[in-house]
Parts: sequence; C-alpha cells; structure tokens
Amino acid sequence: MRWAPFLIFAYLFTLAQTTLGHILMLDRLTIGPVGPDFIVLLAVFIAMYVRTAVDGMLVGWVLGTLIDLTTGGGAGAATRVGPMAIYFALAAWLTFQVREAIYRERALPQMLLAGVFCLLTHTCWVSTQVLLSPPYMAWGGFGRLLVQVLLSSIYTGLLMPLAHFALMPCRGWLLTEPPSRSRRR
Amino acid sequence: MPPAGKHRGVWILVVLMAISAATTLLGPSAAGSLRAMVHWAFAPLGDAGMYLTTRVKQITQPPPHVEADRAEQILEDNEILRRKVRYLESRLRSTRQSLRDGRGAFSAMFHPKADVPVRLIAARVVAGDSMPYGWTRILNAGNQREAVRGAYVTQRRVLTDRSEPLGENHPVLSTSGLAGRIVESGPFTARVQLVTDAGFEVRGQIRRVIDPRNPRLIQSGDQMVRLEEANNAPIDVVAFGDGAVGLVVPEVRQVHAVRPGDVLQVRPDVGALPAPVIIGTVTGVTDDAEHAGMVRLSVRPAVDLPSLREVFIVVPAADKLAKKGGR
Repeated sequence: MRWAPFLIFAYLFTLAQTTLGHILMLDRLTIGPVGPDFIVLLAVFIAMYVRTAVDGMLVGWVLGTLIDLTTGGGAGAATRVGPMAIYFALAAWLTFQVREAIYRERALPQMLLAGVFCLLTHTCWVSTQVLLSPPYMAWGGFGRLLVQVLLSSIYTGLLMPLAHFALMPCRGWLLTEPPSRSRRR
Repeated sequence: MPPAGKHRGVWILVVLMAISAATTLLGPSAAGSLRAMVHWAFAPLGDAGMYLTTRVKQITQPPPHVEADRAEQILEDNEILRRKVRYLESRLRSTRQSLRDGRGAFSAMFHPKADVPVRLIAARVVAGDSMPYGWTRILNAGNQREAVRGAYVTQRRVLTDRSEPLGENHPVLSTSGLAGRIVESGPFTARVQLVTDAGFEVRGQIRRVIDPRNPRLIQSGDQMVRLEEANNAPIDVVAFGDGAVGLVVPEVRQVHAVRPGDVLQVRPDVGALPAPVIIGTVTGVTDDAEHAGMVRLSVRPAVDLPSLREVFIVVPAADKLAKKGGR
C-alpha cells in the first residue's frame, strides 16, 4: 500500500463528497436526502485489490474516520466521531475475504460489493448514533433513516462500475503490487 | 510484508480501533472539538466546489407546485389588487401635493426603525456533510469572527431594518429567512444545523394570515369570534426539524384555527434573534393523535436549503443566546 498517495486520494474523495457530492444528492424527497457515498467507492476499490487484509482494514479505518470527522447531523443529535472508522475497517476486511469468490472485473459484482458495503456500514452507523444519542428518535424517524440508507446504498452501488473504471489507471499509485488474478480466468 | 511488519500493522490497527471506540464513548461535545480541528483543511478548497454545487441546485430547483383552484384564486386576487393599485395611484396623485407640504410631519411619523440589537457576520457555506442523513453545513467563519455556538443563521440576501443609510444598488431588501443555528464552532469554521435537521428546535410564533375572502372563527373566552387584526395575536409554539424536507410544530390548540398559508416566525422576545424572522409557511394541519384538541403543523422552510450559499450569522449584542434548542 502506498500511503502518501492514498492519503491524498482520501482527502480529495472526502472533499468531493462534502461539496460536489451534493450535486448528485436527491435532497427534495419526502423521506429525506438520498445520495451516493464516494468514500465507500474508494474503500471498496482498494479492498478489492489491496495485498493484505490488515492494509485493507487500515485504509477502511482512515476513510471511516474522515467520514466521522465531516459528518455532524443525522440522528436527531450531534453525531459522535469513531463508529464509522470501526465499521469501515470491518467492512473492508469482509470485502477482502469475499473478493476471490467473485468476478471483480464485472460490473454487477462491483455494484453488489459497494451496495452491501454501504448498506452494512451506514446501517450500523445510523443505529449506533441513534442509540448513543438520547433523547431517542421515534421508531418512525428511525425507519425513515433506514429507508434513506437503503436507497443511498443502491445509489452508491450503481456508481461503483464507473468509479472502478476511473480508478483502475490510478491503481499503480495506490497499491504496491499488481492485483491477484480473478477467479474468472 | 515480512511477518514483523505484518504484526506491527496489526498492532497499529488494534490501537486505532481502540482510539475510535474511546472517541465514540466520549460523546458529541468531544466530537465537535475533533471536527473543528479538521474542518479548516476542507474550507479553502471546498469553497469552489460548494459554489458549483449551489449553482446547480439553484438551476435545478423545481418550480413551486400550485393547485388549479389555488392558481385561480391567485388570479382573482391579482385582479382585485390591480384595481386597488389603480385606485391608490389616483389617490396618490391627488395627495402628493399635500404630502409635499407636510413633509416634516411625515418624516417624523415614518422615521427609520431602530436597529435590531444584533451584529451580522457574513459567511459562506463551504462544505456539507459526508453522509446524506443530516442537514448541516460548514461555514467559513469560526469563533475568531465571533461565530459562536447557539447563534442563528439567516439567508444572506436579507438585511434587517437598519437606520444606517444604504448604498445605491444594494442587492437586497426583503424579508428575512431563518436557515439554522450554529452548533459547532472552531477557530476558522463553524457548523450550522439547518432548520430541517432532526435535532433542530426553535421557539417560534404562528402568524395567522387574514384572508377577507375566507374568514375564520377563533375562540375568544366562551365565544367564537371572527379573526381580525385586533385579535390576531401570534401563537407561541415550539418547532422541530423533521429530518427530511421541513419542520413540524406539535401540540397547537385546534381553537387557534391555524391554516395552511399561515407563517411560522421566530419569537422575538426569547432567544438570540430579537426579530420576527420568518422560518417557513404552514403547508399542512393534521390532528395530533397523541393530544386531544391539538393539531400538528407541517412547515415548509422559507429558505431553499439545498442551494444555501451566502448567509449571515446573527450575533446578539447582549448575551441572549438561547439555552434551549440546537445541541
């Protein structure tokens, strides 16, 4: 793992997520805003090709921390810093474990990986923030948040093939070793 | 990676995960301080990106939806208003001469209003949340510019009544719109919680709009009387962000006869904003299932929040920051 280029990419993706990402956000829906998570796209891409699981988890931790530090609302109270770093690290480990069982170069598995990664991390994050932030949100509000999570995960998954295509030329900057061969061959 | 390096990586990971677990348990106030330490890194480059984002949001903003009946009513109202304008223009011509003669008395009657005791700090939205579940934005003004926690934020295209002369071609003079409240403040940046965020709370008033074509009855003592200017006192309420696209106002007495079209504004006598700044318009009135005789109001914000860019942070002259609401 090349850490210096990765940190630059992490910064740029976070910057894009907090500014230009709002262009793609559907923020006039009655259930609340729904938008893609660019940082998940970067985390999934690296977890798909990183050499060791520990490196993948460290990448997940850094990206999750950046999300924690740039998110302030969502659960009815001020959100806490830390949960997303843990969930991203665990989700990166999970992605690392299942990557050999799928065709990484195909669009559909990429979409599924990113969608499931986003669904798991965001669901856990939302649930943690709600549980740790009294006064507790009503069930209706929590259910609405989960619907937002589901739709955002689908949205993120749909963008994964595009992100994969865009990030493949940068793979050499981020990773120290060529990716292992897919099972497809 | 050699085994020693691998083990070092595992240990680093364990330590980092432990730090994350500890910061999770530390609570929101510690989180605010941590966030303030990194926001400055995103503020300079985020400005250009947020400019592009808000421009696109402004362009893609859908036109307001108007029902056919309502459109017809607006057309009729416009015709009535046109007749009134023609009548008033004729009266204006006839009275202009007498106005010239009584200019001194006229000035005394309509002298400039007193300043609202606040200071306005111009700021700009430079970033939003990473996740789409909350309604907060980062501003490029922090506590070095007195953007303190608890201060209200209004849309910048608004100026309050001020006695100082205004220059020519000044960009705005219109009604105010409340955008949110500062919830975290660092040296160079601050985070504003928008009025639609699930954690937003504000003490406000409902101002009922009197429509002579559609009168309403309200309870006055034991009697039902017609609502007129004389008995149209604002109704004190507490409003909350619904986390989606608007605000909700629970527990409003049914006898107040609040209707869609009425206005939710800030209570000027409490909190940090001593002016009746508009928060939004009532769009729905439903029975409050939990409280008999009460209704629940849905409110659409006056400010278009997705395209929010230029704002004013309102800093009260005295220490009037509200203790309730926000975080």
